[in-house]
Amino acid sequence: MNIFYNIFTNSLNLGLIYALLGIGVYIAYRVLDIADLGAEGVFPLGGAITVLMIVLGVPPAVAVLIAFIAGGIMGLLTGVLHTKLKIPSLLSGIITMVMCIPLAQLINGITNSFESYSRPGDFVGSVTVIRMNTIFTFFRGFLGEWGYILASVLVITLIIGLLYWFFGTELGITVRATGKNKVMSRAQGINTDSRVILGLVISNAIVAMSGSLFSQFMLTSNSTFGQGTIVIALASILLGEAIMLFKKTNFAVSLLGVFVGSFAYQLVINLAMRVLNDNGYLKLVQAILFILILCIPLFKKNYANLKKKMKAKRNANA
Amino acid sequence: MKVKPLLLAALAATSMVAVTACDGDVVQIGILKFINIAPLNSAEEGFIKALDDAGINYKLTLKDANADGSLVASSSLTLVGESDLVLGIATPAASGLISARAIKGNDVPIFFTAVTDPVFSGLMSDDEAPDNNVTGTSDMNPVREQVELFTKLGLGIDKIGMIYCSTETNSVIQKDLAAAAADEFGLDFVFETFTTTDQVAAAMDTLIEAGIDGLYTPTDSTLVSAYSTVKAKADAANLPIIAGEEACLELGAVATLSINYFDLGRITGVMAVEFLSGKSISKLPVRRVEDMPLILHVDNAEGIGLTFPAELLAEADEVIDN
Repeated sequence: MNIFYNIFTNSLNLGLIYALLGIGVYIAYRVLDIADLGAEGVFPLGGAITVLMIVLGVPPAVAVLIAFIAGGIMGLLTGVLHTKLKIPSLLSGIITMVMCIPLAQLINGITNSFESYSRPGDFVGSVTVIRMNTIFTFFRGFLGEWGYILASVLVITLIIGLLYWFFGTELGITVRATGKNKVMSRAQGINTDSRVILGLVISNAIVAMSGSLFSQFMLTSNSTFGQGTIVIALASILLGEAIMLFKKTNFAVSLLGVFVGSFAYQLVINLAMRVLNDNGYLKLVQAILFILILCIPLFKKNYANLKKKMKAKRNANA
Repeated sequence: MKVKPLLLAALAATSMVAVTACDGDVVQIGILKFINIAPLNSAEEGFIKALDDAGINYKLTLKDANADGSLVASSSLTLVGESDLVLGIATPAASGLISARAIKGNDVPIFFTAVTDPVFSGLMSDDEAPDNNVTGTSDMNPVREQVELFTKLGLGIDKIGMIYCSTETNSVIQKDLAAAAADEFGLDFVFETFTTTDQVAAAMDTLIEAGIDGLYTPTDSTLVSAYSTVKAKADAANLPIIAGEEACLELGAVATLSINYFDLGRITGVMAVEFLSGKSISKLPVRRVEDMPLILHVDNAEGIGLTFPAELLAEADEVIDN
C-alpha cells in the first residue's frame, strides 16, 4: 500500500510544519481574539532569514532561533501599530505583511550575492540553495523520511510545552484574560496594551519559525511562500476544533487540536490532488473545503436542534 | 461530523487510482509545472510529443502548482514518491522536486526544463557532467548574440542600455551576460533597474539621459507587463529595442533571436527517452535550443526611422512587415 503510506507521510510532514503556523495564528485569533493577517509576510520572512543564516554558516538550530526572534520583532510592530497608534488590528497586520515581503526579497538578495550574480542591495524573489544543512539533516541520517517527522514533532512538542507553561504563569493568564474581556481586564489593573503586544510577539515568532522549518524542508527561500498561509492556518484551527469534540478543554490539548486539524487538512488536500489529476482546480477545491470547514459549527448546531426536536416529538407521541 | 462523507468519498476515489497505478512495465512519469502560462505549457507539450514519437509506454501524472509554495511541496512529495521519472517545469518546480526527493530518500531521476541557469540555481553543480541524477534543458536566451545584433543594425551604435526588474533572478543573470557581451563588441553598457512597474518611466528617463543609442530588454515578465511605457520612451528618443524574447516584437522591439519553448520541451523529452533506453544521466549534459531564428520587425523599425541593412535582412529567418 505504497500509495496510502505516501499520502499518510506526506500529509504528516506538511501537517506538522503547518501546525506550527496554525499554533502561531491560534494565539492571535483565539487567545487574543485578533485577526492578524501578518502571517502571510512573516512566514516567508522567517524562511528568508533562516536560509541566509545557514548560508553564512550559522548552525540550523540557531538559525531557527534567529527567525523566531525576527518574527517576534514583526509581531511587536503589529502590536505597536494596533495599540499605540490605534490602527485597526486587521490593517496593522496587513501593513506588517506588506513590509515583510520586500524585506524577505532584500534578504534573499544578500543570500544570492554570495553566488556572485546579484549585489547585496538587490531585491530577489527566490533563492535556491539545494545543498545546505538543516535541522532535519541529523535526524534524516538514521531515520530517513521519519527523521523529518521526528524533528518536527520535537520542535512542536517543545513549543506546545513552552506555551502551556507560559500561559499558566501569572503573566500568561493576564494575556488570556485580555483576549477574553479587555474592559474587565483593565478594571482588574492589567495593562491590556502590553498584553496584546506580547501576545502578537509570541504569535508572529511562532509563525516565522514555521516559515523557517518550511524553508529548510524545501531547501529554498521564496518571497511568495506566504501566499495562502492564513487560509491554511484558519482551516487547521477550525477543523481541529471540529474534530476534537471536547467543549471546554485544556490549553495544551487545544493546541494539539490545531495539529490534528492541520494534519486532516493536508490529508484532504492530498486526497483531492489525486482525484483531480491536473490540479489546476485545487485552489477552487481549497476554497470550497474552507467554506465547509467554516460551516461545521452551523451543521453541528442544526443537527443538535434536529435531534432535540425529534426527541420532543417522540416524547409527545409517547 | 460532516467531514466524514467527504473523506470517505476521497478515499474511495484514491483506491481507484491505486488500482490503475499497478500496471507492470508502464513508465510512471510525473510532471510538475510551476504555473499555468503559455511558455511552460508549450514546454510540457513538447516533452510529451517526444515521448509519443519514441513510442514509450507511459502513464502521465500532471500537477500544476498554481505558483503556491504549499502546493509545490505537496505535489513534489506525491510525484517523487510514485514515479519512475519526474519533470519539473521552471526553476521552483525543479527545486521542489529535488528537495522532495531528499525527503523521500529515493533516487528518482529528475529532469527539468525552462530553467535559465541550473548551476546558479543550485539544481546541479556541473551542467556538462550532471551529478545527483538531475539533468534537463536551459531556456537561457542567447544574450551575447542578441547584443551583437546592435552592431549589425548599421546605426553606428556605441552605447547601449538595459532595463530590468531587480526582483527577477533571471534578469540579473542576463544583465551580467549582456555587460560581458557589450564589452566584447566594444559597446558601452549602462543599466537601470526597477522593482515595481510604476518606476519604469523614471528608469527609462535616466537611461536616455545617459545618452544610450540602443536598448536591450531581457526575458523579464514584469518588464513585459510594462512594455508600452518602455516603447513610448524609446520611440520619443528614436532608440531601437532588441529583445530577449519573441513576444516583445509585437510590443515594439525591432529584432530578436527567439527561443521556442515547444522545442525546448521536446529536447528534454528526447533526453528522457535516451535515459529510458539505458543512458546514464551523467552522460546527458544540460542542453539548450540550438536553432534560434532571427526575427526582424520592419514596422517597428520604420517607426523610429531605421531601415535594416540588406545583409541583416538576408540573414533573417523571419521578417514581420505589415
